[in-house]
Amino acid sequence: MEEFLKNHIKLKHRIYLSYAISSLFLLAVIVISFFAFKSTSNDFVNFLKISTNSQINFEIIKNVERIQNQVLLYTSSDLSSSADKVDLLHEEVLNLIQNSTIVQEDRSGRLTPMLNNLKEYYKTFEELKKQKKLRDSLLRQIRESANIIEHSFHSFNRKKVVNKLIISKLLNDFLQIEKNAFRYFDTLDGNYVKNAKKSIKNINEQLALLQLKEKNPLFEEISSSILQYEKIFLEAVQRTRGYLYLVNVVMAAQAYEILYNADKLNDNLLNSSNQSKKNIMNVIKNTTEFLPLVGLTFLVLLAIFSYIILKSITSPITSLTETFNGLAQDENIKIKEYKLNDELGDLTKAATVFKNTNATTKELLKKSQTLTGELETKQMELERSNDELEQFVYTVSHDLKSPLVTSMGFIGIIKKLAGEGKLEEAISKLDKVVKSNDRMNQLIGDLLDLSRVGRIDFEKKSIDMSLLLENFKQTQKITLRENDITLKIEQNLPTIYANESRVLQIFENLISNAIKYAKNPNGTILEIGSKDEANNHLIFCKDNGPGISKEYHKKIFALFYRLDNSMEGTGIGLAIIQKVMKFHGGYVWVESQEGKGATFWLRFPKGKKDERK
Amino acid sequence: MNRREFLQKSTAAATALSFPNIIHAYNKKPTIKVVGTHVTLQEKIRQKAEQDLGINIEFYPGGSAEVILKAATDPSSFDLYEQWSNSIKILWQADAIAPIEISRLKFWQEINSLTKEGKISPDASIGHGDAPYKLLYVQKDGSIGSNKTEHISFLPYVHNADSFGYNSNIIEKGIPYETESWGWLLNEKYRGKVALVNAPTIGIFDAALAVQALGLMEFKDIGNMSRDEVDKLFSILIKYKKKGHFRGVWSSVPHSVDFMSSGEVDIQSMFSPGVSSLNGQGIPCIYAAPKEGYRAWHGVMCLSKNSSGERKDAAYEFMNWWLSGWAGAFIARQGYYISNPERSKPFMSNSEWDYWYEGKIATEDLRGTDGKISVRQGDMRRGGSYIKRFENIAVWNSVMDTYEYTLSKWNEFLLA
Repeated sequence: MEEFLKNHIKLKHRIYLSYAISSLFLLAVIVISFFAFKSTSNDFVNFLKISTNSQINFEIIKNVERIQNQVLLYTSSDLSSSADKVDLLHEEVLNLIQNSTIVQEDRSGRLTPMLNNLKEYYKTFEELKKQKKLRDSLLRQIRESANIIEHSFHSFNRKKVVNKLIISKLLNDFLQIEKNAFRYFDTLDGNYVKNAKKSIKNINEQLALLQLKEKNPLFEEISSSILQYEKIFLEAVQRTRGYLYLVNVVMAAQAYEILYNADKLNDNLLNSSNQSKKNIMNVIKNTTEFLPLVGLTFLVLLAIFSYIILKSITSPITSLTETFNGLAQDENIKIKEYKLNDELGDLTKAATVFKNTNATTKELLKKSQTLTGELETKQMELERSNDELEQFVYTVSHDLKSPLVTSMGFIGIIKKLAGEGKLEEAISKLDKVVKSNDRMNQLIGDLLDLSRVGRIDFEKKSIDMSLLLENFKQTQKITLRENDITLKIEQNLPTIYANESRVLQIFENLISNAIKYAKNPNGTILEIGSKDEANNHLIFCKDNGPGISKEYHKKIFALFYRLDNSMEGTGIGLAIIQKVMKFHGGYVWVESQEGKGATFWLRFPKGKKDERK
Repeated sequence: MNRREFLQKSTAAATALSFPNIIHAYNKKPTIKVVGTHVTLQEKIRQKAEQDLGINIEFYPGGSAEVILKAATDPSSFDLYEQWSNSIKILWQADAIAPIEISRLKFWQEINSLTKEGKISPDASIGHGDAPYKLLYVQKDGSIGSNKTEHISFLPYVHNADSFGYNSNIIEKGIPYETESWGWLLNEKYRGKVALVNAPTIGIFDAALAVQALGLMEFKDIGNMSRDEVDKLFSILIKYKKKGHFRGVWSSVPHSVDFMSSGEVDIQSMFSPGVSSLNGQGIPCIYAAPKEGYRAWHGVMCLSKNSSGERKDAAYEFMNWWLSGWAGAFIARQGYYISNPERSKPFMSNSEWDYWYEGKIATEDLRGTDGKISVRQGDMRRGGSYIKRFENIAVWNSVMDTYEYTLSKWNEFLLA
């Protein structure tokens, strides 16, 4: 993931990404919380609505029950107030059912049948009132009719038309009818209707018989009234049964349907309420369980993402820091590749440039150091050369001056003698002048020779020292014999990389010095051998002469220095050897003790072409 | 001559023979008013009768309580009253109807013994309550009774044996006359899914039969319960009601159909058209054949006391038309029977006759009067043949002496 980010998403974008991820997580938490609270809020609002609707529903149920009670009261009594109460309660229930709150929430569609049944109920109640009014009117008519009939019977009695007993019996029969009739209306027992009808039939039969006997129009009148009474009574019975049927069957069924649907609505509301409660509790539970978990998860994820993005940013920065530190410390540090063209990419490029510049600088510094070293060396050499030159000039001027002075001296003498006319004596002095000039010539020749070392004849090659020195021995045979010097050359001398003529010059000078200064009365022996060092070839030339005191070990290499000025020579031989060795990058020194001979060591540096047999 | 031709010719002949002369037809197209219920006052019947009789017929259908009240209190509002026998006593008592002359009834002889004698066959049970034969004849003393006279209180025509219907998708099919029982109405398994017809003169008997079937009480005369019996019956019913056993009551056939089709009710009092309608909707409502017997009802067509002149003549013709065959075949497709079924047989297919009257398996799909298939090929009418069904009558719809008392008890039951 880190590599992906480093290789595919620029730094700026990674920072934006980290912000975006953080924001996303935060947003997710906010959204979850928001929806949780919104859900809870909605469920709570819903719960409140349901509570309100339940309250409305309870009012409906209560009022419907009250309506039915009032209707029953109305039917069993003559209280018109009950009918008024029914009207009021009906209005209330209607408003409750049509209440917008409950209508909106009635998903089960219970309100519609409630409303329809309520409307039918009230319609039936209107019919009921009509029937009851009619019945009540009929009851009044029954009483009126009964009064008429009773009055008629009383008229019979007063007129003494018919036997009082018969009339009394008829009147009693009629009163019995009335009693049955009103007992029916009081008790609603159908047997009283049967009894009343039976009695009516009976009384009519008796009246018919009397009519046949007496032919009194009053009988017909009474009979007609009784038939009328019967008609009114039967109608009253039907109307009673009618409205009783309406209230007890039709309206009761309608009220029941309202109450049933109200109960079902209540159940639905209760279920909805429980569901809302459950939802609220679930949301609370889930939120309290889920949100911390989610939050923790988000935090962990955020931490991981942050770490990854952080790493993707800091890792290259750290790497670059190390790189820069390393570069600053002149380490040849490898710069990690950075593919993207962003700020870190620029820094990486800068590090690369820095590294390259560093390398260049280092190179230049190295070169500078080398040159400085060389310069210092050259300076030292120059100083040495200047010193040597000074020394040389001094020495040369000093040593050259000596024969010159001698020569001039003798010339002066000669002149004087010549002037004195002592020509022969003057001529005898010329040998001294010639000798001094010869000496000066020798000195100059050796100096010339010294100056030529390293300027001409400086090509080097691999030289087999054994072969070279064997050949040299042959060329010096006569000189060696004349001076009674035995030259011993070791076998397996190394092959060195040097200038052959200059090497030969070394040994010529060493033999020349050995002849002069290394004589042994028992016979001078020169041994030439070698010793190997790690990086150098050491060749020695050892004699069995009187040896050289330590104080002269360095001096003998100075220009024109002679251990014994009486000896021949210019004192340049060892200076030439030293310069030749210097030319070869080597060195010469002597190891000697008085009386124990001297060993001249020559150190030749090993080169590619050096080898030892 | 094929059957179709026979029907056409016989219809024309019947029309020609039966309805040629309307006595006292001063108005060549008199109008008669018929008050009754939706059971028989169907528009197709009215139109056919008008067409066949050449008279104007006005139907005034309504609820049973409404029409009986109207008829009982205002005889001038109708010429003919159609309902069932349990209203006869009320109307007769109210002096709203007039005796019908048997001599003017063309098909009187064809009317079977069920109405005239109380039994469809010698082995049949008469059934408790207001068996129609007890109310048919106008007695010399002006009462109505079973002694044969020349006048009757009502025209015997439509009748049926009712029971309860149940959804066989929910309730396992029973065996007619063996396992099917009125007691199922009070079976605890169906709590909350039971309904009764909202008519104390009908539904009370369904409940009483159920209570008796379960052995919860005995009735001396289930057709005319005493007050104590009514009290005890309703005490039991109210207990059930309070336990939530009853979904409610229905006041019309469509209401009963809605109950079962909506799934609110699985078992309830039922009328035959309701069963047909549910079957037509694909709901397998079975009309039970209870082992205790049916609750029967007999339709009555009564002549208004106030009907006279040409209207009275037209009323008689309408009565005769009802028994002339077509109307009997029409209502047979709704599951009702007619008092002279042989007259209606030519108006039905063999399959129809075999299914509706003989109780045989339908050999083809049969359509109801609404044109929808009400009987599938292979179905068999529950309870068997017409004869078999009417041999098993437990009780007739009745107006008991305790009628008014049952009304208040019914209210108590409904609102318990």
